[in-house]
Amino acid sequence: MSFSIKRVRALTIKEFKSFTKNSNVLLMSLLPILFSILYTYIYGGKAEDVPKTDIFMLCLNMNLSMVASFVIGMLIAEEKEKNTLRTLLLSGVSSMEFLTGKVTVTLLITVITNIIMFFITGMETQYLGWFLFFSLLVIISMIIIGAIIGMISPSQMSTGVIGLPVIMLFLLIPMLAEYNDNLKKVAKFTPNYNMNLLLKQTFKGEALSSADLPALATIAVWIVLTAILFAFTYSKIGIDK
Amino acid sequence: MLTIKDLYKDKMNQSLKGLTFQAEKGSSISLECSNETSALLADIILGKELPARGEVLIDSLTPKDYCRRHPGTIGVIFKEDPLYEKMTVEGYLSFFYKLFNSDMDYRDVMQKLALLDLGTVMIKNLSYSQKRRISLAREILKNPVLFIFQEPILNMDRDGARLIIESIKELCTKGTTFLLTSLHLKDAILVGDKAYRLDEDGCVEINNNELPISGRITADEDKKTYTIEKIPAKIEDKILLFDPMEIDYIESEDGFSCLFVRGEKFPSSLSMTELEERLKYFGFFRSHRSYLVNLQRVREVITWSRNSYSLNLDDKPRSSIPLSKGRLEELKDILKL
Repeated sequence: MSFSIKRVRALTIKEFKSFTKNSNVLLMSLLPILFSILYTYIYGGKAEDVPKTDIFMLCLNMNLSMVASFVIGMLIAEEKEKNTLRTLLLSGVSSMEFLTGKVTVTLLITVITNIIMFFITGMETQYLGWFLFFSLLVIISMIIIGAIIGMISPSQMSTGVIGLPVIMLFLLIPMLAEYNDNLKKVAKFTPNYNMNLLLKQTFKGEALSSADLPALATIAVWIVLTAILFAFTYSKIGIDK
Repeated sequence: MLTIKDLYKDKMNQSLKGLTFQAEKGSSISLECSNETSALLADIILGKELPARGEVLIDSLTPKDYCRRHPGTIGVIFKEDPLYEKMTVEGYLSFFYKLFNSDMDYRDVMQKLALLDLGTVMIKNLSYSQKRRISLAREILKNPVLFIFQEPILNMDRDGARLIIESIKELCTKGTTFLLTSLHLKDAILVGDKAYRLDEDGCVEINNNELPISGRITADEDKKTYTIEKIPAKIEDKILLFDPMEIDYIESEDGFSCLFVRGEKFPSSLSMTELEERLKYFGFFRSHRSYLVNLQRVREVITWSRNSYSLNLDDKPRSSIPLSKGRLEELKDILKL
């Protein structure tokens, strides 16, 4: 299968342009930023009640589960629904080039949103590097999940139906884990919860130790698992069905 | 270039039966067939469906192999060809220009299809005819070897149709092979070099060649007395009799002739030759092997290109009837042009 960087670049630029014009997707990706502004504004003065780390974590998880996976799913499903995908594929664009374009855009949007939220909530700049590294690992598995949802769903609407339960799993379980021990046991197997643990530790200024290995390993296993599932869906369904 | 031999395929109530033709490099073939049949045929040529019997060869490769070895060399415009509605015309074409890594200037193509002034307009604000031209511009940038075009001039305005026919002829001279499909025999005859009709009973070539003229006019010269002429048409168990002046034009379909009266179609039991004999005293003119047209109804004679002409009628649906090249002179004689 052919793979040309030139074509991927053209596709990525096109995605960016249409991203700014697709109100559905645009609103979705602005939501975490809006929330981070809102929370910082409401709780900003009283740091003792709700620490800014918690606000940031909440918005971060929202960004990772809602934006990273939903946006790519919607972008893929939209092209399928409107049949523009067929035109692209007949134009010599391979499925992989098409997906790479979508992944690049989603990745950039998510990372940029993360950085913006990082500064809005006023986290210390010295932790930015570690933060980007940990969040990127989770973004990878989230985007792969999103791509799978996009491949399965025939239209933008059905992305919501298929994607929502999956996404809620990653957003709600880590969030509620603090209040319920049973949920906490489940949460230990999600990548988001482990990232939260790692980040909290980093923001406190503690260095990584061997005790963090299980958390890192869980995140790595998720990347591998989703990649295998992706390969399976790709070979079974492909993008143009 | 494209060879289809004895192709049979059944799918979802649609069937292709015994389709056989060969399209050389730079030629154009048009098919009159239903939308579903056309979609099925496109799927077979693009390698998405396998033929049940017979063979399809593109450059002596099977469609699947051809599409794998030469991706993006088949130009396709479907009946409904979706565009990115929120892009501007120029943005859309420059995107595909980069995608194809094309050596053509997309502005030249825009100029050829009269799109230059629409560069900054969003595609969703355009008319159907303009959108079809954008689809064509996109495929021209692709520089296709084989071009499948569904409904090239259906519902197009006059200028749009002219631009599309000109572009098709130009691409043909550059070596692109065309496969055009249309619901209407008229469109199929007008656009392609060779026309076929494809339906449940199989595939028939529509003879686009000139009629033998000798002896046609001299026959029955001594028929002087005015006899009442009514043209019979049969619907279920009724026989309708039409006054020749009511008839707009007559089309031949599978050897049967169909009368078109006020936009409606009535099958007649008479053959085209019989009808021509009976109607030529009423100002009917055989404009094409498959068409007999009431000259009283003709409003315009349109020249699409050097070799293709059509007659526009002022009947209800404003039909346009193909006029073969060789018949133009005779028409000019009759109309004393």
